[in-house]
Amino acid sequence: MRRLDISQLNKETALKLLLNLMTIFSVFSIFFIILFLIKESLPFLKEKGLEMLFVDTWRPIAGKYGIIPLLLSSLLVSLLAILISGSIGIISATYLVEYANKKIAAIIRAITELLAGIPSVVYGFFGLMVIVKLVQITFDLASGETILAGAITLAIMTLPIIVSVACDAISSVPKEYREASLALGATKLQTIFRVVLPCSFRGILTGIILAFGRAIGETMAVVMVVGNVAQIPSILKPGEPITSAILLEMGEAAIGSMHYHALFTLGLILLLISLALCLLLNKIK
Amino acid sequence: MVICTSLLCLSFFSILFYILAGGLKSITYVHTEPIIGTLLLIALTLLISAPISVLTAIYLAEYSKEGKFVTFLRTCIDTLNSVPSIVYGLFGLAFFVTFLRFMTGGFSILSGALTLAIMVLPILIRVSEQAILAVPKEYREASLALGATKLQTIFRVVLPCSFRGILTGIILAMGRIAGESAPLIFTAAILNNLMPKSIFNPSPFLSTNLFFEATEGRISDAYATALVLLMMVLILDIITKLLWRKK
Amino acid sequence: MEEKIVVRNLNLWYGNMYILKNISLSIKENAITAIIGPSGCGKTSFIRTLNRMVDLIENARVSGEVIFEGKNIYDPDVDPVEIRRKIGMVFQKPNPFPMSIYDNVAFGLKINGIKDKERINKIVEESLRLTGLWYEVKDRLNENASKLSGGQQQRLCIARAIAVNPEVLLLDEPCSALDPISTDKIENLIKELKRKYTIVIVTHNMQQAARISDYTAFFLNGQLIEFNETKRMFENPRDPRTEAYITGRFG
Repeated sequence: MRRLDISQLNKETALKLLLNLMTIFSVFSIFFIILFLIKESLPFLKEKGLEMLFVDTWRPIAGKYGIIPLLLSSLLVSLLAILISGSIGIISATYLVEYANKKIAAIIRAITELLAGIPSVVYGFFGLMVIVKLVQITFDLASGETILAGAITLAIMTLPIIVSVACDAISSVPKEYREASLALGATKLQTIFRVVLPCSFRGILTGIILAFGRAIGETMAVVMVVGNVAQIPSILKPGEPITSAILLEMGEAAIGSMHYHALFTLGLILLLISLALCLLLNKIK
Repeated sequence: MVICTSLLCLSFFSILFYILAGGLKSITYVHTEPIIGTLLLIALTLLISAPISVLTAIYLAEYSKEGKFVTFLRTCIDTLNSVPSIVYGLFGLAFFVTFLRFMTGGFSILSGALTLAIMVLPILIRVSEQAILAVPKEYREASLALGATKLQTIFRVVLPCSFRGILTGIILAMGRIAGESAPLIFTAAILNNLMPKSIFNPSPFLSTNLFFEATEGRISDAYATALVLLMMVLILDIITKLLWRKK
Repeated sequence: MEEKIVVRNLNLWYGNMYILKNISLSIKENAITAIIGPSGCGKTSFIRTLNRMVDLIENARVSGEVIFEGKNIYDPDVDPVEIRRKIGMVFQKPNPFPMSIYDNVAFGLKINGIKDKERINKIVEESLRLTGLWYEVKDRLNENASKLSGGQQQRLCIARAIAVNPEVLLLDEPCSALDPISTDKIENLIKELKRKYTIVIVTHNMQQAARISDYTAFFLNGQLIEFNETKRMFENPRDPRTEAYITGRFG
């Protein structure tokens, strides 16, 4: 029998402890983040918590902390973005899986994945230079910095997610269903709309929710193009989503001031929305 | 249908070429300071995050048993993925910059790196775990049969074997770190192009510079920064894809 | 008896592979024609040429004629979708859609533009009655079809196929994935169905062919070796290869 080396044993125990410690760290990070956000939001919540929902303007200088315009801007710009990228994405995915030549489809999917890696600042820059101008010219506005510009920029950013997930969902529909449908005398289009798409619905929905989550949490791509006026939003006017407000105003807010805590509350709300979407995704799966 | 797909490709290429064109025209506006800043940031973030991630991945892959508890662990880690980047910025500001000022130097590259380290944890953990699980169990059995302990097997056989996979994850994370902007604005970034004095000082970065330059109207600078940043990220992405395929 | 489908000098290639070699035969109306032969002899490929399902295979090439209703179905101006409405198919593995029982049977009607709910209800009930499923499922038409047993699912697929009122039914080894009792039920069903439809059935089970079919075609290596009335083929095969197969010496 081999004699157990004591130093080896100590090393083993130490390393095992390290493994456990690191795992605990990784796992607890999320709780830690949530806790800290709550800690920094509490002062605002205690004093002005309710006001947040009922005051209709966001003007911290004047002491008004109504989050409704910010929340509505976030929702409007994200929903519009998903509407655009969802339609284009699902149709593209259908084309790629059902009609396109395999090689071309593979190339396009690779391009889509590269699109996914582009940093959000770059999207923002592109949006500022190109999309904003396009919106301005097309709709004859004084400035193109609008909810619409934000939505289009976010749509381009979220396209890869939707295309990728939709492609997977559509390809995983068993070919037996397609054969059965065609054998009954359905055209390819009928087969796609009545069998393939309904079958892949759950997968596609997952993609849409993921994309929505990204859109609503996105800061850089949207802050450069959306105009940043804290008002009740409409598509061709500027708006200010929650993310932009936090980014732009933190510089002005003194640490420890009510404004500072209000911004943290905004962050907390954003986090809660993202977590809720995460939960929803798990439920669907 | 074809129109939609072409729209898809069109957007990619138009972004690419637009920035390429603009950037090349203004190539003289490239500054070195933000590039150094970004590179330092990447190195520091990975230095902090990689060991933690790999060790966690080892735990998950080799020691944990499938069940409710492990699913809970994984869910906690994966949730980090859905935290918006600006919330990371807020957290970094409150914790690393303010609370731990004495350790990090307040507004500094270190604070930024610590914040981003948490952000890239889930990706690195997942990729490392996959790489470790992909090591065939025959290797482990052979090692154990020779009298090695589990830990020795892990560090002498499994890890070297999964090295390439882990490297792929690291390069993937590099791209993400380089592209992040919002968290850095709250923890580490300055507007002027001054070389950072140490990791305990703030610094300019490519990503944050792009934002400042674009919004202040310094368009030529912005184009140049965008070009460098985009090229960096795309090259890292392509390397990642090539490594992935070779596996 | 009238000839429903006439096959003349049919050849099929998948790329460079020569699958069906110069097949000529005729399918008689309101009769059951069985296609038998060992694995890989081309029976499934043959049946798929009859309703242009081979079009779905990437490098498939067909030469020769398949005459149905006076026209070669491979003529360039013939719409394969129309053909498939008149020549239906049931597959080896039951493949009901992941929808309700009702929606499965009604599918073919809806794609043909039939919107009248009353009419659809009527046809669904008729089809389910014809396949003997009605009493088993009439109280749970909205249940998902995947909850049915294998034999029930296959009968559902047959009901789905006959709901569009085809002239011909192609059955590709419909019982090979089923247990003996379901097989028995379906064989009886097929015998009933021949009164209304012309039936072509591929089977690797010779006894089944002998039991239920009127005509039998024996394929080997992509060639049609013998085609005759079932009784005559089994009692007195003309070709020695047919005899060898039937007596079980191979296959």
